[in-house]
Amino acid sequence: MEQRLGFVVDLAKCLGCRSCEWACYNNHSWETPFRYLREFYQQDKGKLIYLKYSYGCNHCEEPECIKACPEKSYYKKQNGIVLHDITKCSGCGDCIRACPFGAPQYNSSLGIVDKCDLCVSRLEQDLDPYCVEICPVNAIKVVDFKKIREENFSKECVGFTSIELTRPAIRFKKMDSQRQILIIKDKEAR
Amino acid sequence: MKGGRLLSIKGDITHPFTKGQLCAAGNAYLDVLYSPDRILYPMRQLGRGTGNWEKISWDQALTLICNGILELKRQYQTTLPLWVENHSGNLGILHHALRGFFNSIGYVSYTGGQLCSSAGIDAFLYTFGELPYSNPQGIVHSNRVFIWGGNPAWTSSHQMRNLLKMKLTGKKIIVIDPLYTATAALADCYYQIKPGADGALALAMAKILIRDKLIDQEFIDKNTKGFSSFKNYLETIDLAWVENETGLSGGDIDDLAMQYGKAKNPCILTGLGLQRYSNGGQTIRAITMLPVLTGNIGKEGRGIYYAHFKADVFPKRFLFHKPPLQPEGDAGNNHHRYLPIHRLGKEIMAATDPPIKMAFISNSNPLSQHPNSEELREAFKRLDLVITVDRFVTATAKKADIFLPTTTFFEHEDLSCSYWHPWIGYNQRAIEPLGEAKSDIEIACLLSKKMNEIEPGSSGFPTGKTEGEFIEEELKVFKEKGIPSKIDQLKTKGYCLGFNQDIAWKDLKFSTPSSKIEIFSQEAKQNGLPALPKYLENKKSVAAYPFRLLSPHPQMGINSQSIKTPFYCQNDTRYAYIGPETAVICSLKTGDFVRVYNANGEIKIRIQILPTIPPEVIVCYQGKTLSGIKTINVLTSSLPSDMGEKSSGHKGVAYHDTFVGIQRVG
Repeated sequence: MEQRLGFVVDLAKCLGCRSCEWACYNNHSWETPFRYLREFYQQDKGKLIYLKYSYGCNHCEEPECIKACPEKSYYKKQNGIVLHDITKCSGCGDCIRACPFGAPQYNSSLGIVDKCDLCVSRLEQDLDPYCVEICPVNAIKVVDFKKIREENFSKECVGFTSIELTRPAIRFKKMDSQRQILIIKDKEAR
Repeated sequence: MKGGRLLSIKGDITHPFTKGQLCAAGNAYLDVLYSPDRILYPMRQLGRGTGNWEKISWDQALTLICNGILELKRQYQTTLPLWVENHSGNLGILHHALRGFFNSIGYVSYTGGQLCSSAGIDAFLYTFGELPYSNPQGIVHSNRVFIWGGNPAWTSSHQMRNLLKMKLTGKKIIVIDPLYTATAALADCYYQIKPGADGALALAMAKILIRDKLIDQEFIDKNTKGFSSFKNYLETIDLAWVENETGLSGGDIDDLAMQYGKAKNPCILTGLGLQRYSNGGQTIRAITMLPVLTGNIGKEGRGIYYAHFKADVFPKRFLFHKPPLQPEGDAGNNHHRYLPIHRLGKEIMAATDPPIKMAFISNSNPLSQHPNSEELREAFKRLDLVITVDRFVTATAKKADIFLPTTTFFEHEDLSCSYWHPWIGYNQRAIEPLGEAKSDIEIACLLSKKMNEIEPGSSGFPTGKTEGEFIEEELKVFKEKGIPSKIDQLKTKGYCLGFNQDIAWKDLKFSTPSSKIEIFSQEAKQNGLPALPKYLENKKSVAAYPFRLLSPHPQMGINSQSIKTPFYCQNDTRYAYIGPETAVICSLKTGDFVRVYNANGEIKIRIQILPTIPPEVIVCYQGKTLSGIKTINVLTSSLPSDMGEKSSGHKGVAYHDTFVGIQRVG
């Protein structure tokens, strides 16, 4: 059975510490990291929801980047990983505009785009991607989605809408509902 | 490493505390090492602040500096006109080498006191006689952790690993903070308290604990001094007043007291922010009462945590090289002069007999980090010669005459002692210094050599010793203590324990004057402080400056040692953050450009509205230049905190007692 690899994010653990950003940046010769922290606030009936987590490329099942790229520089491996051949890239930026997740990153000194390759060469050596390896609280993991019980995971969370069109390979670990969100008490009530 | 160049940086997976996982700042250090902005040779600025720097040789630089010092000595018969600023750097012990050099040439004017933690340190010393030193890994044995005014998700990600592990087993994390931090976001409960009112909350909790008989009377009777007068004082605390003072409801306060009092083994992590107020020392004193009243001292997983220096076992012999004999009949000047840190600018300008004429600054960026920095900038104008030792042209270096380039920890050897966990780290040199950069201790040796070249016998500091030799000398302490194996351990593994006790005050012996926990401290009273943990009035805003400015440290930097602003960082130093209430009052929206001002000065900055920022508060992160050369400390207050003298000779700084106005520009 072919694998379908992707990231699982544990929202109860992510500190928002940015170690994964830096590990990604330090180990890929690119101007920016391929994954970075996103922070979201949402008002909900006088309560405030604040969540932070990082992601980069979600290695979608139906990737927009592949469809958008005029040079056909994107391709998908059997195990689900979406890869980019930078030798074909013209730097037109169509993929950047097409990706709903802000994954492709433009490198202004090279004039081309690249993105997260899930550290595929490390996976082949049975090593974790750099971002997973560095995380001080083990909040991110690479898993084979064919082997997880989908009911334990959620396809969306505050700030992240599951896009059925592209079917991103990212799951958020479900939290105990009482602890799901963190609350600032209603300031009006004071 | 490849061809002498470092390619990547990794943690040591065998390290008991970090487990090899680097924090974001740790990951970013290679960028500091190879930053294109780093200065790698000595320079002289032709006209301070002009940016007109010229490269000079080390010999030229050292000659200029030593001639400057010796000229002062000839003119004033003392080196007291030289102001020496030397703070923490990265806390490697050899970073204080330049202090050692100045100790060895005579008497100088040092900055007195420290910016960081001294009010809180004093509070612990008054209560317990010592700082709490329990191994923070023991926190996993607690079932309820109160994080009070601290943000380990930013400052100690390794500690957060322990805390999250606890949380997964159903234990609780409670955060008390005026700001909804990344740590608060991971907690079970969060209480948003008004800034500076933490002491009132702690006293109210103590009062409720006594009222509801949740205290350990036997422990109190045996181990403490002054309980009955404290109890009487608590009678005067009105809980309705505490609600108003703290902004917490009566229910919240009750809830906190119950959660603490009924927990089987609660522990408290006190941060540093809550003691940077003019009532900060008393705040910490009040918080220390909670574990004391409930007998949660000296037991695994309980008690209270703060910074401590117990792991720093090194004698720092290089600090104590004797100066040459002073001129006779000058006994009055036979000691250093200390200029109180909270009002340094004023002190420099006011100094007479002798005045301050020259500055030598290392491990520090005072024009960025000291409170009321504009005043200090003014004081710089009175100086004839300013020298900075740094890696970058900082806000301070911009106003200097001579720049000496120093190394990063990749390029020198050092010993680093944690002030949180009990481990000492051995910092090996990974690569040769880049360009002409030199370590602090090498600069100290070269200065000493040059001094003696120009005027033989003018410096008592060693001239020909290497870093390694200085370190060997420090390591002798382990032989003297009968634990020579630690030297091996340090050198082969890279780390060793600085001390072995895992639980502070397990033997219930306290080094206070009464050998008990001092709720009532005669010593505090003698030093002009309340003998009991009393609430000192929280500073209030005035009509002209209605907002309190909080200036916590940014996520991606240590004070002004900011590491490159990360990629899509929200919490960066380019913004002032306000809450929605303030936005309405001032009719501001995100992106507006504003003037933030008070009597000390003003800065111009962009606004971001975050729903988590409480009313009447504006938050700007410490650090990197905001607009031009001005940093947030243009605005911060020169008020001292209430304590700090006992541990550091001078009071600390009440940074958070700063009030400002905001006005939209353009």
